[in-house]
Amino acid sequence: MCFLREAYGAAPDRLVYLAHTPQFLPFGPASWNPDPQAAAIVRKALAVVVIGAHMQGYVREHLGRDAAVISSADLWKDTS
Amino acid sequence: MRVLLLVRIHESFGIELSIDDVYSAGLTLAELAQRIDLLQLGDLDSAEYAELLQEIEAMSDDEVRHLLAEVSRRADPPDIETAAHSPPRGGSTRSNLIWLEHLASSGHECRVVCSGEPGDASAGGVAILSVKDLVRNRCVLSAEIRGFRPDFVLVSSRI
Repeated sequence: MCFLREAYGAAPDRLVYLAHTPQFLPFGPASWNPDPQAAAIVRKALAVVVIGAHMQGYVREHLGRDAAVISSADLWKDTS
Repeated sequence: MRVLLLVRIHESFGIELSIDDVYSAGLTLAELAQRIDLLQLGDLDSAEYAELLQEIEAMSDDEVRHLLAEVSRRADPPDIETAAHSPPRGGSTRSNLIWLEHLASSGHECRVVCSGEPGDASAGGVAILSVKDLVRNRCVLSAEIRGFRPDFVLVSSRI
């Protein structure tokens, strides 16, 4: 989580968190390294982006905030 | 029988397992499939493999179909210089790069700061700065943010 803290320190109002794998998130039951302080940073982030509805629900349930779904598969299709 | 299995695996997947791999006590089909996957995926470690599976499982059937179609079509990727993002390792990094390439194609100036052999590279219009041992030298990250003054700072959960 050190880069999250570093980025938050440099740009606290412009942080967008890309939430991929539950094990690497600082919150939630699947986290390998729960970190309440890092979770608080993510909760305050300008936006949280996930790749699908499953992760959107996971963020909603375990962090208590909205996340935007942007499918990288769809973007790949659109830009190719 | 096991030798025949090794031959079939080689024929089907183009990889060579050792006889020890299939003589391992208690080796299940799922474990054998994982070994084949890891060998095919190259540098991925087991954590990255787990991450990749999670991402695939989080996709809808349509998303997976789109991805497979694009992978097949892009069988000959462009040459990219050395950096942790180029070529990207792991599903998260690939997704991040796709998002950034999309932003770059929309006219945004995008810059990646990542761990890797020191140097600058680019991929799909995205500038990539690789920093050796970025964890120890993470002050470079905040210096880049202050110098580049981006509208948004995207931080991946992978890090």
